[in-house]
Amino acid sequence: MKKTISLALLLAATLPAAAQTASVRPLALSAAEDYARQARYPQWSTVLELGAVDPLIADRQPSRQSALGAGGAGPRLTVWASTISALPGETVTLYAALANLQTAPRSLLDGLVGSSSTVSGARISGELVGERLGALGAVSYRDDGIAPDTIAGDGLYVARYTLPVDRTPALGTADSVMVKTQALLANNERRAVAGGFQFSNPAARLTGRYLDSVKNGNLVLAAEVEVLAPGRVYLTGTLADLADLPLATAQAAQVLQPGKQWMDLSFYGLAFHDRGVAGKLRLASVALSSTNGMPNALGPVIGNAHVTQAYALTQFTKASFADPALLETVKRLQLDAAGALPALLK
Amino acid sequence: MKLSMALRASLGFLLLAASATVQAAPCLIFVHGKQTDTNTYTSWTAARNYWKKDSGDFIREATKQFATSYYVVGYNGTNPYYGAQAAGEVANEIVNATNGGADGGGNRCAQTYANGGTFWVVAHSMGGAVMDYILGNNDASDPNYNYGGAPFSTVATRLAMVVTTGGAHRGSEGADAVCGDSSGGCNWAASWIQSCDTATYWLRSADDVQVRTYSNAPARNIYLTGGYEAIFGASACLSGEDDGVVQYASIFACNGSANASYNNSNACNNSYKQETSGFRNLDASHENHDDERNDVDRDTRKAIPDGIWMCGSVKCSPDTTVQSAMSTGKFISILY
Repeated sequence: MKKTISLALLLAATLPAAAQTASVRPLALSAAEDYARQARYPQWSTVLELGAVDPLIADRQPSRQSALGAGGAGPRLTVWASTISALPGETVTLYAALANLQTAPRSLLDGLVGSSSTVSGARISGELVGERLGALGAVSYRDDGIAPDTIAGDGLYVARYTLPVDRTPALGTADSVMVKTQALLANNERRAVAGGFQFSNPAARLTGRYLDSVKNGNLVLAAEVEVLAPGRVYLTGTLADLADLPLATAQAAQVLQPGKQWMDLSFYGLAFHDRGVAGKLRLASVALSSTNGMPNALGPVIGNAHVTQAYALTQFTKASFADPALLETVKRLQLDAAGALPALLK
Repeated sequence: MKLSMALRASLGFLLLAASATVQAAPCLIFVHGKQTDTNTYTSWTAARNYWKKDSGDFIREATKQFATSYYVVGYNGTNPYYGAQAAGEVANEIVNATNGGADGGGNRCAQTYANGGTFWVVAHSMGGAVMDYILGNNDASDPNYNYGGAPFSTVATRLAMVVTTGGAHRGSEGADAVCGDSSGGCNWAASWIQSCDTATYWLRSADDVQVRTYSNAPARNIYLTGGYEAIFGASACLSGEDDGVVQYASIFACNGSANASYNNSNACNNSYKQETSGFRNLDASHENHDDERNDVDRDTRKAIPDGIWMCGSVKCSPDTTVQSAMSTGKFISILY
């Protein structure tokens, strides 16, 4: 089904709305603009904006989970682990913090405001349960200044758990470990929340040997990997300049057989032109995971893994990748946008 | 990296030069949220009814009284987001829709992909995590490319975009509470997180289950809207603004902590998302988690940082009231 509109109407539709009126642009037009930008890069490597954080590092920062009492009453129990993924035999530090809300419990519509003060004297315990492995163990958190705790009575409770080697997930797989944490307050109130981390047993590891070269106008970091069992592996990394400003990301995945071999991580050359950076570059972070099923078996992030030779900007491609699928979507969205009238509403 | 002026001008010219003959609206493909049973997978009617309540019908409103073609997906909402009967089923149904196949109710997209059609997904709640997983694993270099043999790459090629309403992109603190055996008077029983079933387990905010841990940036944009109307009991237990089930940090796919407190003034902008690209803010509505998908509440809408609403020639300031009585279903209808 098609319809016809005049160019004059189309022009009027794309003009800004009156100052007092809230309107929306056709979403197709916004998306087409985004995709025209994104099509300059392949999905396996993209440039980072100046000032961006290293996405691989950001992805591996443990999130915190928290729980309040009935009606949003304090104190708030917040839990987190020292890592999002740990290997067999590795010790994970588990944290739990209890903090009062200095304001009254929030109303239904207001956000929590105000600072907090910590709460000591509670009894906090944790139960570790693997999704497939089942019950793994239990821990007691302490806030008495005795290791693993460092400061008595500061409201930060600490426990440690060493992942049992005899419960290791099959090679190349991982299990999700939920940490069910309960705090019993001095007034017998209870707080409970689930945190977690991953018990990982990747079937491949980085040996620490890297080579760099330019191929087809792209910077290729070859990483030597040691594969222990056949399967799919996923390599991802972030490149930075020597001032440690993240510059570009790249990823690659392959099915590999056991043994030592090289795996290429290719950074698209246009990134160096867009950022105006060349010379020596640093592989700021890199990680290798087994991706044979969910959850993937994450390997550790290796920081400052390699510094490349010095390269001239002219060695890198200036060409847009011109992702054909994205450009086709751009074309279709432009046609859709031409048919959409901005809503002039309020 | 900024879009050059030349590129902008070029796009504008292309738009105007596209000729006066224009295509029909995109086909809308609806992907529901988490369920406590398998009804929406085994019964298309249940999947269709997910979008209705009383006289309200989200799909009717979003499709401009059914003037726009649509397709309703039903998947197993008790599966984890990555499951064969969740992401796998959704991907297969999207491919069917773009091939011109009918949904369980006989609805078809007006044009196939081969004939030039465009397709938008509208996803609610867990449907957001499902789409994150599909579109973040469509390339051979992605960690879970075409996971389980599902056609994620075909979906990414054929979709134009996704709009999520109350998307659980970073999970729900409600899931953290329920799986942690918390009662705490939070009234989770009113929602889909009544128990720590498999889907709930994988909607916790811990990193070992987060979709972003297992996905790359989405291959097509995911546009974000969600509600800030409380649900009694539950909202008091969530961080910052929320829709009674999902907190803003998750609805707006924020980077950093999944339980950071955000509101309409400071919701994370487009530069601070769970992936380096592909997530874009739209707006916020005074709706709760159910209102976001059943069109029963025509309420206030607010601008948020980097949102879509324009006040004159500039973006409306965050927290500006941009509409006084508009449902999310209606909002979808004015986006195309």
